Amino acid sequence: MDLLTISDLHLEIRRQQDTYRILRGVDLAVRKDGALGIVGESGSGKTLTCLSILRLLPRGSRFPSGRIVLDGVDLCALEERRLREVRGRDVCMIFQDARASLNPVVTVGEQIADIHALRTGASRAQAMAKAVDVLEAMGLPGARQRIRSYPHELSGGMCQRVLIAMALVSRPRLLIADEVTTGLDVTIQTQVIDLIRSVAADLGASLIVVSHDIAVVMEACSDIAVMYCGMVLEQGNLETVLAEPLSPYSRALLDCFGLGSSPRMSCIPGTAPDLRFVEAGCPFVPRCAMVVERCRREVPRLRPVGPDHSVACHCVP
Amino acid sequence: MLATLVRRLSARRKFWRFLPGLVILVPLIIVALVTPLLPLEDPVLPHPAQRNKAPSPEHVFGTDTYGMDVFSRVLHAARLDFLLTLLCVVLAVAIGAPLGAAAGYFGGWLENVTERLVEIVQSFPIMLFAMMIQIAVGRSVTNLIIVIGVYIAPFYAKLVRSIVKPLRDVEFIQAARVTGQSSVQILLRHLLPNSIPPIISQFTLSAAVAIRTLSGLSFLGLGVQTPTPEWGSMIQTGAGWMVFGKWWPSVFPGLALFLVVWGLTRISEEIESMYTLREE
Repeated sequence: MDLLTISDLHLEIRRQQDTYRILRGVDLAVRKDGALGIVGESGSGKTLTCLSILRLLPRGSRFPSGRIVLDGVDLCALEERRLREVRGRDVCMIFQDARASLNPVVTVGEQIADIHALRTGASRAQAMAKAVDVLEAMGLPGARQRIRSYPHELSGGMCQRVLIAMALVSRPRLLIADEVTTGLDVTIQTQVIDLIRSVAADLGASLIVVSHDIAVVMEACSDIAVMYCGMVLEQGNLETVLAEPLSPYSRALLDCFGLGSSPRMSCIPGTAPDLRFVEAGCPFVPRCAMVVERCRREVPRLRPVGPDHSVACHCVP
Repeated sequence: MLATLVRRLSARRKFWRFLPGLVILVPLIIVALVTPLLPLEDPVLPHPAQRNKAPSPEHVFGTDTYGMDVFSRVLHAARLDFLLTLLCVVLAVAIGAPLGAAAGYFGGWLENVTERLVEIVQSFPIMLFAMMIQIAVGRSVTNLIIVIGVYIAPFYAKLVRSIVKPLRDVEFIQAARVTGQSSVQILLRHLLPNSIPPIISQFTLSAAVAIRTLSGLSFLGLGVQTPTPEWGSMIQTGAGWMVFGKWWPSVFPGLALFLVVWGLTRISEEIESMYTLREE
């Protein structure tokens, strides 16, 4: 049973004269209680896919087509007032730069309490008590004192815990973690990932983990989606995809992590295409090793190739 | 917020820099507060037999052309002047800050309209502006406060807008939107706290502007009217007698006004330099 399904989502952003085609037919599904990892290069549309779910997009964005359905509700068609209920109540997102995600002149306790008060209508004192509770649950030493700290007085890992605490008090059904471990100590990374997993488990929430680090996804997720240039090229069960990546791009990406067939670490030649001038056909053509004629004509759509495994590639039988 | 400011002040031993301004302002404010308790002469009671008396032990600052005691009037005027100044600046913040915040946050036509309003108000010379309003809606102290408040409000509108605008798309505001907070909640809980320190530092400077404008208008007869004690109108009352060597009815209120404006400016300059230092 899927909590969230995104089907054929297109997103364009208009900047001055240029139109950037950010997403070009994203198909994604997140299972109830599932954890989906989205991997891909910078600029592949991972973050904007997530922001699309919350409809928090930059000015000049529009969806030419596509549907984002959260538990039967089409988020693309929702008006602003209803969207505010979705944000925080249904979907919550944790961003990469934890300290930048916190207001520098408001104490962290108040910031957590605000959300709790907003969510439950609790009084100021109750909300502050709740803030202490959740920070303690986050394993922040001296939570009672820490709630009076300003974000600049905390370390990056502590700020990240504060953000996770905020996600915990908003009690979402879908939690999105966008590059949350980037810039953290390796030892802290695992702790933060474990914390996010346990929070999601406590809430019974589904999880989306966006990362360009496959190790993080392997740690946290049961499913994986590989994105490239605004498209999902492969999606499926984590073990299945890692054991047998079918899309040439997934294979190349795994090789880059030293997880593929080649014992040596490799790189993908070339760069991702300019999103302003997108040609017909598969976006990976210029960098792909196994192009057939059809690849240049037709955009491949994601199609099932096995139980819990789909690929968008013309070369895969 | 305030606690942080005080902590930063004491930690950096910058307190002494505020001393000159505070030494002048604090005693004046205390005097203004306790004036009604002091054994002073009635500030508005004329003594026709005692007109234009030079300073003496009996009348320390002398008497004015109506025979009213200048010392008592200078002290009582401090009360009124401080109170009116405070009201003007509070009104200016109350008008300017929300307008600037809304303009900076929402942008678009709202920002355009606000900017044009600000430009219109600022392009009028204050005296002309005050005269127009006073003539249009009648002369009263309330109108005086409104005129000066409206005149100073653009400073705050611009200030708050310049703080809010770059923060609009910053991560923590985005994060607040993710948690489902409405625009009003974001403005009040996240953007307003960011605007408070600059508003505080602007406060003393605009208080100096307010008190100068206030007494300037009263001097021209557009503000507080004689016999109500007010520095500007007192200077005016004595102005005509200066040429006859009777300097005291004007000089003492003028000196008081000068000290207050100087003290306020001094403090605002120190606050400003404190912020610029931090940016370096």
